[in-house]
Amino acid sequence: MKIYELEIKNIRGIKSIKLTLDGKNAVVFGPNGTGKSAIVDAIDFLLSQKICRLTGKGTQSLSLKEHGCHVDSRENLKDTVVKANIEIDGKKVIIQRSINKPAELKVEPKEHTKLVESYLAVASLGQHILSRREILKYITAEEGERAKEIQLLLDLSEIENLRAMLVKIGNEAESELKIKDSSLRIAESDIVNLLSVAAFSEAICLEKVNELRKKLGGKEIFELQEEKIKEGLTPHLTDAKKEVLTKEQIENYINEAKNILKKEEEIVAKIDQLVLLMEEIKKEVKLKQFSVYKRLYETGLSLVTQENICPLCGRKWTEGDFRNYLDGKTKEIEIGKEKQDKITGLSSAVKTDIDLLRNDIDNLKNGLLQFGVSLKDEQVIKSKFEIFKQWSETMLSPFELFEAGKWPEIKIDELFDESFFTASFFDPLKEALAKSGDILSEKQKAWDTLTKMEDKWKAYKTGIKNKSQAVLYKKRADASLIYFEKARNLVLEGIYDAVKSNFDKYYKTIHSDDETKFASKISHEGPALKFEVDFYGRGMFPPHALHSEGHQDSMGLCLFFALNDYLTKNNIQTVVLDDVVMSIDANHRRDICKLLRDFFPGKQFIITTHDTAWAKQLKTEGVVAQKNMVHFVNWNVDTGPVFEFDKDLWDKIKESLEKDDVPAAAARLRREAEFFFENVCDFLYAKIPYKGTHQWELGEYASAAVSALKTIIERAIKNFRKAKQEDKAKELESFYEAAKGIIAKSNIEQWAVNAEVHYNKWANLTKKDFAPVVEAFKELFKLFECSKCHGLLIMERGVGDANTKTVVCNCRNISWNVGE
Amino acid sequence: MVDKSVTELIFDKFEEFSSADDILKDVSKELSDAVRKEKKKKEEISAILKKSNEK
Repeated sequence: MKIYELEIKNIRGIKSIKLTLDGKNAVVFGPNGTGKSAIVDAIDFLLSQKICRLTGKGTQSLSLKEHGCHVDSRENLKDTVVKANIEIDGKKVIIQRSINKPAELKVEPKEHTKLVESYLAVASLGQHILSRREILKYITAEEGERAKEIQLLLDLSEIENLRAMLVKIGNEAESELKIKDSSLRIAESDIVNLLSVAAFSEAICLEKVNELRKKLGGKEIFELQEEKIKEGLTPHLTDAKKEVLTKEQIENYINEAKNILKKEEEIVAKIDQLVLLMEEIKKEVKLKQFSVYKRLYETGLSLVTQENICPLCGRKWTEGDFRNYLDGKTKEIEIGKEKQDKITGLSSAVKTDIDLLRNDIDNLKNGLLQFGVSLKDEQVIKSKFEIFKQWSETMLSPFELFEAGKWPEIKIDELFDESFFTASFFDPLKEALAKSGDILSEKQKAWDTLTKMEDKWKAYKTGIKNKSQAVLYKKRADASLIYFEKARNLVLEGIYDAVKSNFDKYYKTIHSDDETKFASKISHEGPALKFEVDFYGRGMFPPHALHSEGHQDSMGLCLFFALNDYLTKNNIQTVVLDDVVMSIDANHRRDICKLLRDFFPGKQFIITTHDTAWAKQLKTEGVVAQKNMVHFVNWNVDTGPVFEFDKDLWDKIKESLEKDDVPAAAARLRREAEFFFENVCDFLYAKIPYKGTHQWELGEYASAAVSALKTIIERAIKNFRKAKQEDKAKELESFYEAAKGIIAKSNIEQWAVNAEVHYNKWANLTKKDFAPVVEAFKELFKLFECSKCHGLLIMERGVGDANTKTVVCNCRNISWNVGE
Repeated sequence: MVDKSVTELIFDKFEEFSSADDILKDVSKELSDAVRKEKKKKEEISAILKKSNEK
């Protein structure tokens, strides 16, 4: 998608403006405050229905409707329009948007609406505009913040929300497993207490059930099933109520409760150990994210080469064997898993003891009611049950509660008050049991126990089923999270690799003079996005740590382009660069031109700048054509920007001469010629006598440029002959002869010896005398340009070999070997 | 036209991994569909993971 025509009415500082860009690069230049940014805002609004400048930090009080329009159009938003003729998928389409209805995009012909919308969905990511503010966002951001910004660009919020959901499901699954495990343990304990057996096992239970069945004249059964427990037995007397406890059950519950109470020290020690482990994990991120680090080290191990080269940064590891180092790290990180497993083990054990004790006390409470004994200290009992509940729930997800500062305030040892339970439960029940005596026959007791066993066995079997279901749920939840993170990391790593590779390539293009070995590292570590860059072979550092501001700006620019490549897939070809080279020096700006011109020939750059030299450089370097140089001269609130399409130098001089204004024409030629020859000297490595002031004049630039051109042509002719390319040598010889004539006409070589022809005298010449000077310079300029691409001649030097020199133009129609 | 989003690529990979895993393969299709839904419900995903694997 490229913009061919852009019409803006009543947007920000613009009243009315129409620009014809023809889908080509353009530069909007002029002093600050002339309305250049309004062009950026208008394009932003048209493509994304918002104005980025009015959003984000410090803009809470700003709104599109109030501040997106021209200040005089607030009452008449219908007149606020951005309209563009665009080309999309080879189709010519007109799109239009008004601040009155920002969400409504008018598309003509209407049949292309969906096509346009699908392209503009990419623009909603904001990848069509880069401002200096955005550059800093990529470069100086903290790892977590940068991750957020990049994730926003990659539209990963859904992924991160889903991951958080899977983590939550995993935690719930672990809690559910603990609950089901505890329920099963209680069901087993109930059976142990009912049957008065030493420990739980299905075989022991079967043996005991058969013993009871024998007392009732029943046959032996070989499998414990709820319906088989009383199979074939004659119903005996009256069925005891299931909730009524037998004497043995009460005694067993008392014994079990006493045994757990005796474990006070052991349980308190487990809690202390738990707290210690959680404190360690809370402090150390690596321990908390052991699985992520484990994968990192294991992947490293699988990729590291025999030469000890790190697969991430590409550097050689000099401190021993790199594989051993990574192996050690992997083992180190295992500690994290061990600690987390320990937490799960300890909390499960404590929870089981608490739940069992609560179950025992709950049953004993029923026992007291059964004997009609009223409860002592009912309030205290209630509070004890509250503590049971609190600690039992805490043990479900101890680390989450500990980290959130929700650890129980009441210490667990308050539960282990044996004297209280003895006075309130054990002694009253023993007394009641002694008074009641053994009123039931052995057969009745056997029958009652088997009746209860039916119920307890059913609860036990349900417990097994529930636990196995919970185990499956936990395994699936864990696997889902692992695969989800694995999928996320794999896809993101692929993207980051592509982004990194393009970033390095672009950055090395801009800094081909001093950072040819530059490398970066973009990696995803848990929620953070690590971005580090090489600093002249001294190691990897954050991009804003050691590099200069200018280097940081070019890094931001390169990262933007690298991300833009991935995100827009070249669908949005229009890219607005809003004053992005402020801190980059002139030499590197030339490399930026090279980047824009050679790496992105299909894109349409709309560049704004207050720097006229940079705007002209964009033209000289062949990035922007003369007709797309938009010069914003002035601005006022009533008219908006006063602008002109920057005219050709020779047309401007012609205009002045037509007005008989020779001084103006002379001043313009001198100024432009000085800029022109300064660039030529720079591009051709022309030699200028050194000056401490670092200020040279047209005379110095022009004679150095001419001298350099002569040397270049002479060498090129010689080298063509050496290479037996006689036709090319002859062609260049005739060009050289013509050039000598043109140089002579310009009088440049006479400036030093004849004051009468010096450029200082130009302003005093008559129109008739000055016109040939203009013509001579027009011809002279052409000697330094390619007749095909109109780009300036540039000398390329071979890296590492100063003798390899080639003079080329942008289109490579000119390619002269000028090596010595 | 615009290519698959990063989100979709991740979902595709997740489906590939989960369908090849013994513990998840029975519910993989259902799980992937639920994960791809625009408004994902935790309860729905949780219920799928809890499903019995008894045939």
